[in-house]
Amino acid sequence: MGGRVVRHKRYLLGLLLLWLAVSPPLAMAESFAVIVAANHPVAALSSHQVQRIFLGKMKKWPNGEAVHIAFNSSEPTNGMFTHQVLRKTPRQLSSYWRKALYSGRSMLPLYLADDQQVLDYVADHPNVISVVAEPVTDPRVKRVLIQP
Amino acid sequence: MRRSVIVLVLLFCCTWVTPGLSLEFGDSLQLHGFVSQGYLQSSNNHFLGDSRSGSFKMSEVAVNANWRPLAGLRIGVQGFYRNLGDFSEDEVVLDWGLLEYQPFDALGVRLGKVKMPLGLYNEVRDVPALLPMVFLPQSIYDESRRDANLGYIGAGLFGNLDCGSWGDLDYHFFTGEADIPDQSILQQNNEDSAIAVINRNNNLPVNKQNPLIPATFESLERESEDLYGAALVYNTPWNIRLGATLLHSKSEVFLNGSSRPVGDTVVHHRFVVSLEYSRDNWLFVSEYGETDRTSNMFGNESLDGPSQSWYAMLCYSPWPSWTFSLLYDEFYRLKHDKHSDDRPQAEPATGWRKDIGVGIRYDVNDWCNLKAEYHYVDGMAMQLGVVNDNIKRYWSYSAAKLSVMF
Repeated sequence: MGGRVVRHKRYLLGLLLLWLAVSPPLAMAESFAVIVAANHPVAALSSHQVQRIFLGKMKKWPNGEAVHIAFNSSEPTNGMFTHQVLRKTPRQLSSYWRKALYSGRSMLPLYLADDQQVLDYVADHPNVISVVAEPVTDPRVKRVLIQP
Repeated sequence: MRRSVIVLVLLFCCTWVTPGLSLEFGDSLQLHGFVSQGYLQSSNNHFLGDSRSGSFKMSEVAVNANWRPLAGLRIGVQGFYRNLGDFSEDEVVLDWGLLEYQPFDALGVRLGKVKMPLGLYNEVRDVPALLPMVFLPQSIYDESRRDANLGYIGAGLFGNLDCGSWGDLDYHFFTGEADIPDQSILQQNNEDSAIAVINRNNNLPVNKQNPLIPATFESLERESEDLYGAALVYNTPWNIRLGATLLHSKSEVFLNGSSRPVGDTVVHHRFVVSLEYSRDNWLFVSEYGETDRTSNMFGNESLDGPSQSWYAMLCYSPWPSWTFSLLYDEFYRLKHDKHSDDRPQAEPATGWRKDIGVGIRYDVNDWCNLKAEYHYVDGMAMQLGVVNDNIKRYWSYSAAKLSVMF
């Protein structure tokens, strides 16, 4: 009897671990936009490419130019973007980049304080990609379509 | 104590006067760094220094600069000051200094002094603010022998391979030599051991003395060569990271300026396999490693065979600023002789070290945190004679540390 209970507990624990491993993060309403300068040739990216760009793993645009990333520190935009796209909390993301910095593997990406700073910076820098809250009405930048 | 006060003043400045300070000159030049000050106390045994009555000799200060003159090209350097116990004092060392060129995401090269990839955390072992606990698990990240595996001077190939919906793979192949500073605890221990061997030899009758051992001690040099290795980290799309590291190294010991080595340590292979799972408020990490090594000194083999190390650590953050950690960490000096059966003259507990630890971390903000922890240890392995001359089997240590990054 006791052995069966232990076996059932093991099955339940195994199922729980499996569920934790494969289930997607909690769904959140998307209310941010990934943006580039209005004259940038890229119109769409896959969510996988966006993730690789913001984690510093994809360092060049398809045309060969260097990608420059700028994070938007303002909440809730930053939290939603890092949760939904990068699957990290903002603090985990900060820690990820600082590990790369202090171990000599990378420089830190730029962090900007709010949407207006992001819009101004992206408009002035042709190879920068960043994130702002929806809706995007500034004609100097354009929204990048994110494909699944 | 005076140095600790200086570090505390630096900490105060970084935390309250200039929070989050960093210098960034456009997109191509950055200056950053970190400061930390800790307190260490132990019972029964000293740990890394005179810790039984408590010690503030636990400080780190680093400043780094990175310059990207061209896309894909980076020059970086980090100066590092560390004071732990009575070692590495009054010295600012080059922690890393490198030239990096990465023409493709999948291929880049680093030349210079580069942090050695070993397990998931070796490259950031000296950045306290980024670690869940004050000390990394000692079975894999042994603080007393840290200098042997801290970095390499040489060349490395690295890159990230995109595996599509299966995630991506980081790789790093390297070759060069290790840099063991003169002020390290490991170097001091080597010198003390050599002096003890010389004294023992001198006390023997002349016809029984080992002719390879000199009569006096003047200096000891340890030179590294033949270091090479590879590290892979597979980043899955399910918040799981899997890692594997394999390396080989050799170091030779020279006494009194002689050009002929009196001993050597060959690490035939050292491997570490790693698993890290993070999800929302949880982090689980486990690593397993073996180091197959042979040590010879004055013609006598002092160590031959693989050690065995593993740990499991679970961290939970019920609130964004608070993290609680639980660690179980185990080390065996010889994998195939865990209870020292082949060394009847030795105390059995010198063959193992079992550490159970609990820790708490409070993140004041993204660049400042405070940590405290307690460890209870069963075992006498991994202790250096320079720290303890009468080692006890059961002992404990606790530590607290305030760290700031800028």
